[in-house]
Amino acid sequence: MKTPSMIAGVLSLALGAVTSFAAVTVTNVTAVVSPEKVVTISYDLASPSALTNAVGVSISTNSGATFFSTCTNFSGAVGNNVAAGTAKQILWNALQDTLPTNNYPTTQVRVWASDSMVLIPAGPFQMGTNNLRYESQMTDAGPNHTVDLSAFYMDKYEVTSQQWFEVRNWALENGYTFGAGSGKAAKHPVQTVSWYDCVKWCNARSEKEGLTPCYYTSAVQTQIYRIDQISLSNDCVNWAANGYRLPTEAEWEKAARGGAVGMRFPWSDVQTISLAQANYFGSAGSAYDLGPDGNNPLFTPGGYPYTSPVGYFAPNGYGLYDMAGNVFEWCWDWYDASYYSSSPASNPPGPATGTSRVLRGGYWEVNAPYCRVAIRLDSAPDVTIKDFGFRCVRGQ
Amino acid sequence: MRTRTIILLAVLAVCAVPCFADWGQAESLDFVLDTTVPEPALLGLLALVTVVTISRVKVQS
Repeated sequence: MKTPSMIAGVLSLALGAVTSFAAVTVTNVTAVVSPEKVVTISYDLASPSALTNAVGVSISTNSGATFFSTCTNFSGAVGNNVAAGTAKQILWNALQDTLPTNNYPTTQVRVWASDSMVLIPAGPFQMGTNNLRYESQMTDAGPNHTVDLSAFYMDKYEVTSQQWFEVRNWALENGYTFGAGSGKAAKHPVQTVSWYDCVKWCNARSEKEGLTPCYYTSAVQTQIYRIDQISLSNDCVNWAANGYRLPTEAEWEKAARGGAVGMRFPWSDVQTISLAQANYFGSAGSAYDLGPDGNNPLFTPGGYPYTSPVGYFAPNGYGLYDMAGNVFEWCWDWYDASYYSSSPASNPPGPATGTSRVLRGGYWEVNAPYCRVAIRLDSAPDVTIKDFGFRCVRGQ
Repeated sequence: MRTRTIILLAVLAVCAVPCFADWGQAESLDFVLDTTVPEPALLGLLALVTVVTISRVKVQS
């Protein structure tokens, strides 16, 4: 009698866990083409997030062998904040899109949904600042220039310690090598991670979830990057892959701005910062820092690090958390102080070479100026200090 | 004892599933998308031009 009751108890716990962490699932995807070449895409979406799912569409013209994300003329239940439900509808105006005129007898649509990432829409934004004198410590953040980016998805939160170790443990059993990484608690951001380990972690996360990795050991792109510290070039990245990768510096800044224009921080209502908005070190030394001075006492118990749980503060306009403070976030790009003067206007991948990689966003022990959306920092890619964490992006 | 172990392992496996299920995707079946076929509005315009042209030719002759 004891055994069945114990089994029943454990099963109940398991079912409870499954219910509370129910998966995001997309099912019943259908597509109907009207005479006007408007494709009505229907799908069912189940998600533990009732209202805040990001939904995207990719197109295949070869029976699903490959999908691409260059089509953007979608309306309806697509983009951010899509509610879960059945018979959701997306309208795709195929004639208005970038698809070359042709007869495609084997077209497929793929509907993709996530409750942990948000869609950053395609289009231009203003990167950097021209106020180099007024905005101290930013001599490399000009000129202000227009950058056009394709749509991409970004993690709502910095990668947590729990996520880091789940993927890392899987990766260590599947041919990867890593440094340790650390974190104050499961839901706090991972820290003390090198750029190399973050890139390998992105690949491991992709492989663990059955996606195509983005990073390879050479430009030939035959060997997935899993071990050692290799100085990757932009050619080593499969930018079209559906796996996880680090954001480019331009992607990070567009995402951090949250759709606002000309703002100093990731929010759109004020040009000031306070400890109620982000986890940083308050100081009256900056006129725009409303402090109070010092660390937020809410996060000092337990000693170093003084990180905050991810998502503690309000999100920005795109629904992203902690784009100012908590931990610096590694970006893909090599750092070049003069890059903005020569960078391509569309999807800049960063300089071709360099000695250090870009970090953005500030962390819990720096002052307000380092939390500005335009400020650029850099570090050698092998450095693993308490300041550094990251988050991932994916192509559509 | 052995049955209990197997059941516990199965339960643990089920519990692990949600850890990597914060996204999902699905595809439609194949369908035909022929963007070379003119839109109905364009066809209508074409028919109108044809009718006008024919009527003008008739008037002239």
